[in-house]
Amino acid sequence: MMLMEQCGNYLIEPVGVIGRGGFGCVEKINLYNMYQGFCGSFARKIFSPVDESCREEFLRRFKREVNYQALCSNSYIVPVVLHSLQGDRPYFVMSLADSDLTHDLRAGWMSPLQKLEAVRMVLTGIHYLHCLKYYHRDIKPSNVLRFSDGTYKVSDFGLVKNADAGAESELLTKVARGMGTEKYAAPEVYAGVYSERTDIYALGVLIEDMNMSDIPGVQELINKSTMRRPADRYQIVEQMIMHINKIIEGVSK
Amino acid sequence: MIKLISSGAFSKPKDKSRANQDSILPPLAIENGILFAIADGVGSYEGSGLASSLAIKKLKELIESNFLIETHAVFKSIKETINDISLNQLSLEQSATTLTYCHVFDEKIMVGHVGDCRLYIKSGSKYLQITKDHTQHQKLLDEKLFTKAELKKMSGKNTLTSAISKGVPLDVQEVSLSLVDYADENGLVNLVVMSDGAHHYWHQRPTFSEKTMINPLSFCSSLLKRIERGGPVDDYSLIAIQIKI
Repeated sequence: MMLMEQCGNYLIEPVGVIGRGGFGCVEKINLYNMYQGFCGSFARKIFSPVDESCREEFLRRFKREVNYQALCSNSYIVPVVLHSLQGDRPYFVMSLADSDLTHDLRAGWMSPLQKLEAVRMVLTGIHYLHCLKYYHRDIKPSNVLRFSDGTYKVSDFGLVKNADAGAESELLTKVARGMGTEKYAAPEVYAGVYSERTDIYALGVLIEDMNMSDIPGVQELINKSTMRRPADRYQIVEQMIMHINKIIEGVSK
Repeated sequence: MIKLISSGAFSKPKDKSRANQDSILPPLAIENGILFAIADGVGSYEGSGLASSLAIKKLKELIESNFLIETHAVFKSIKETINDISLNQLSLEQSATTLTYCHVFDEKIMVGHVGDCRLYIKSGSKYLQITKDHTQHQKLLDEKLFTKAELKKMSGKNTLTSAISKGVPLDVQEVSLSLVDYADENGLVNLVVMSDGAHHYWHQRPTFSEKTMINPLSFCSSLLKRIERGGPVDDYSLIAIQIKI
């Protein structure tokens, strides 16, 4: 057995790196209790930024990511099970996914109904986030993970914004900084505006990525989600859920 | 030959207890021309007062050493100076400032602008706004993404879309005007530059009596009174000048 690290009442056995990003890396781990009873395999996101000059800013975001994601309790949000934010190598542990939506779409095995169900899960997860007054701000297929039971869950809270926190600094002048992924960014994002409707735009592009416009009702869903003017889009994700439910109903008949 | 006839200026903090993050360059004679400017340190970030004063200092150096320098080169050079602030102190990395300058020479008015200070020129009985605010609301309106009514309900009025700061793209507005086009029958031209703390109150009622409008000293004291009577919303600065061609 490899060297174990302790985190609270658990022992962590690193298995190997499964992903890397600007913030650090994600590795697969085996988790044990203090009696070395196997609890399962998980993913651990470790903070070690490539660009050290951005360390402070990245660390702030990393801690925020953990806090926001840990506060979520929803079947369609990847849960955080453990974290350690002290020391030189802060990290958090979450459920280990089998794949992500990008890979699944590329593999080409998803049926129209499976795609629609995946969309419904993502919409339900984002609707839950919005109810907590959080904006995800980086919705894209690679941030939607698939787990062994076939459930798709929303992940990567690195850019999540608390809508209520924004009001505090409104009195002071600040500079808008665009973030997220260009392809999924609503036009107003370039002026630094984020809202439920910018997430809705990204969801529309994500649905477009799934190549199912031939299913009756899907193109309308995409069009209404990605309207140029925010006022012309769906105003809340719940409206999208209602629309997709109707589409699924039609396909299932 | 351009002659400065009169000028007035103020630059004050919102609260007397804290530092003023605006910096101004009162009218300065350079070669055969006149240069004046306002830089407004962006309030949310540490070191913004320092950034605005450095912007003014660097602007003066640049135009004094080469008064024909190209506007984009001016901003690029100032941005490099601001970037260097954080070399020894990481906490100053986001320090940011706006800058609006006006250089009058060879019967031309050259304006360089980034941010939300405003330059106005007197035309007939009114002052025309020459610069365009680099603010979130202005950008959203320009791109027709939101209507004025929709924006009223939204935050972001104080959010800039461009400023001089490390990691923020520069969106320089350069304007060139002919002095002759704005001179009155006596060859007089009036120009005013204001930081947002000042134009907030000017914009509410953009007029004074004609006597006050043509006299930089009266304009200056009348707007100062208006701001202080209403209560400052930010640091407030203004430079008003009258020149003769």
